[in-house]
Amino acid sequence: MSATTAPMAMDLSSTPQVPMSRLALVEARKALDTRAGRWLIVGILGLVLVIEVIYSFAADNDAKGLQDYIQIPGFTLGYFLPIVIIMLVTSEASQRNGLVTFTLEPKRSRIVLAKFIAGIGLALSVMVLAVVLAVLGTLLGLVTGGDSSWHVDGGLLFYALFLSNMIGIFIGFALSMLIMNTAGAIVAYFVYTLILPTAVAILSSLSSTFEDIAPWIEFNTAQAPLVSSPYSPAGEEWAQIATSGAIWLLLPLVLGIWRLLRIEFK
Amino acid sequence: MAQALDLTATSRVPFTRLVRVELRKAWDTRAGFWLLIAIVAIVVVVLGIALIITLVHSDPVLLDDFVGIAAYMMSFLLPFLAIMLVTSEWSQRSALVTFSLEPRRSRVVMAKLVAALLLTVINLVVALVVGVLFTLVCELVQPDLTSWHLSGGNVAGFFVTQSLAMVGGFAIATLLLNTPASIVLFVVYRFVLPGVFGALASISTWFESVAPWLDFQAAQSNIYEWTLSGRDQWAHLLVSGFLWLVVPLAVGMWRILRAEVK
Amino acid sequence: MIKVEGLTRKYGAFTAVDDVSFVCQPGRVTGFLGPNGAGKTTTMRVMVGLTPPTSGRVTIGGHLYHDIPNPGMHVGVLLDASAQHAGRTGREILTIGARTMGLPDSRVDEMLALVSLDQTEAKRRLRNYSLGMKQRLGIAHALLGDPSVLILDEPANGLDPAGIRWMRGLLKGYADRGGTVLLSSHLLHEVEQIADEMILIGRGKIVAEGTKDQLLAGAEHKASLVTALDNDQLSKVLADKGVPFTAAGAGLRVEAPPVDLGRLSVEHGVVLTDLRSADGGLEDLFLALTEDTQRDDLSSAVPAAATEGAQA
Repeated sequence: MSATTAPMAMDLSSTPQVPMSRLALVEARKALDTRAGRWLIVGILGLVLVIEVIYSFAADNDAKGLQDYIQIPGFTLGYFLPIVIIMLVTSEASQRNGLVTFTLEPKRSRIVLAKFIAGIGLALSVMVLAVVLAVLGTLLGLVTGGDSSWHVDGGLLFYALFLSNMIGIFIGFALSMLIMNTAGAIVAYFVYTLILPTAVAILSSLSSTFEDIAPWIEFNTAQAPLVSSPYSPAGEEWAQIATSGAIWLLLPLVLGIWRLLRIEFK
Repeated sequence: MAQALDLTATSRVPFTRLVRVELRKAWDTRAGFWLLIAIVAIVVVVLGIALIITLVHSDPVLLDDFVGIAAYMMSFLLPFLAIMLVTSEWSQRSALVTFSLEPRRSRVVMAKLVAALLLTVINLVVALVVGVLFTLVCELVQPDLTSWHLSGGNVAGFFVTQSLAMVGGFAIATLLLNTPASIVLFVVYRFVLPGVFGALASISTWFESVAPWLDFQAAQSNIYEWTLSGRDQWAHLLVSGFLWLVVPLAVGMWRILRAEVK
Repeated sequence: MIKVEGLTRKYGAFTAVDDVSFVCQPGRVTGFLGPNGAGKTTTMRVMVGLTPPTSGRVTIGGHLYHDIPNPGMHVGVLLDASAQHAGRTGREILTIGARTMGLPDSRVDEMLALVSLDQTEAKRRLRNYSLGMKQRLGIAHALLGDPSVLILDEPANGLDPAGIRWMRGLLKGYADRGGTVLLSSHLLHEVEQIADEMILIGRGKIVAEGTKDQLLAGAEHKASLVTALDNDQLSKVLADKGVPFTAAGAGLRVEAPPVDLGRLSVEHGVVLTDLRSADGGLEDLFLALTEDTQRDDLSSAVPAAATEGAQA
């Protein structure tokens, strides 16, 4: 130790903030560097491939256009991609990384934003990959005797593949931030995607009034026009999506972000 | 000073005690507790809405229906309970303590299995009770339209299929020892696989003949209706059941017995 | 009571425990010392059946752990206080243990009182526990069945000085009543004070064992740390005698055995307030024996004796 007293202040002038791009890249890396994250994505893509192969042999030859094949990843991704997102967020709490992550970047809102960006980036990459797989599938369909139809309805691409998956991803974010526990969030997600629609179906069968109001209050039902032909929701359908979306997507998302910003990590 | 441990006065931990402790472990954590609350809440909410609808419409009401709805809703979440019974020991590392207190690990796993089955029974009873309560409300409001008929066959059939689902989840959990992976794999097994088998069967007659030996879910559908008949159907049930329940459970058990617990 | 015979545990090409044999006697506290990764925890895990040995065996009281019915009543184990479900309360964790062993719930309250965890703390979930609280809970769990053998891995970890003193008393009392205690630690000064017998392990092999006196018997004492009421006077005496010395902390480090210094001070009427040997302690022995298995390069490190000795 030198005899002169060291200055009491820390000179921060030469240290810039961690740039958002770096934060987002790190978050994306975190999703992939664990065995669980990697295997999940590999599993999703593998499942898409397997189903495409089966479809190529099972389907009628006139239903083997690109349009038909694209629905396979559209459906599969929608089911499993939110789980990748859930793990991205909840692993901070489950594996207690939060202690490290939020000390390296104490402005939590930036981490939240970085996670969103990384999640969306990952999802888009997987979607692109899935489209590639769909093209491969169509080729396989050609080989197995299908009519080659490379026409794809723009509505299908945008609403069924992109928008509904995006919604699913944000739901994954909302659930994971609210529950902050991997197993809990995954269970909640399956409740949301499996139980809710079933409950609605049962109740709809009991009452036609219920069947009418269902799309206004249950988000899965409201999204049906997005994922089924003719892929162009009408005005009233948009209104239904907006209201049920506000209840089931916006509200949890807002609550979840608020919570994540304030939670104590141990 | 004695160099040996005098064990004469100590008896083995009785199996019933192990089962009781495992049951307790299912609800004594925040996660387990809230899962159970969620199951009950979902049932109550759905039945509540159904009740309102039937009363508003003055529809006839069967106890059968209410119990059926309740049980069906529960059936989605119960296997997750079974999965967590196994996997949380690993993810939370409490296996360290559990296996120190009872070094014969097979007994612990069996105790967990029995606890899972007991939970099925308990949940079924809760479904019955809730169903009865709601039917009671209907009885008070519109006694002419309320019927107390309950098909014992349905209840029994439901108990059997639910137990098999629980064991299925349990087997997958022992195999993977990881909560999210087990949950996802179980969902695939229960909800996606039947569709895949159906599709495969429609394209290949060879597969169509093989499928009944592999598709456990399809083999179970006859249990629910109690229309199992003939050696064939029994054989399909047993073989596919062996494939999906016994084999993963055996592998999972072997894995647990030999694992190094840190 | 605990007998380790030729224990070896390999992970592929890596040998974690290499032909280790020792005995822990009842009525004594045995300290298990070694650098990080020396094989202490692995050995203890084999003892309680959590890790299978590659060869050799461990018996407790003549039995394999696996063969002991309701082992919690005979062997109290604390390997990792954090290896519990974070969502369970402290009380619940003890209750599950008590129920498994067939003990009444009152025993839980007794144990909570013993480790000084109050009612409010007992109701908190483990994720909200401090390190020290988790440790106390773990000790309580190990003692639930009033076992005659205790196997503890780093029990003082996270405890404050009061807690360490309490645990020292607890374990000593245990051994005095005839129990067997095996504890592993890095805290040399703690182990020095509490262990009747010590086993030093390095890179999977035992490098030394015995009581503290036996271990230190061969050590030479060539240097001392001394503080006098009048250090200048002492310095003058030493300079006259031609004894090399340097300033160290509040006193002096002298290249002469303590006994010589004692004589000198008597001869010249110098009042000493602190006199101890500067080397030959347990830490030096430990570091020397495990030198080639240490992960740290200590050439520029400050030895403990120099900093704490002359400041009393």
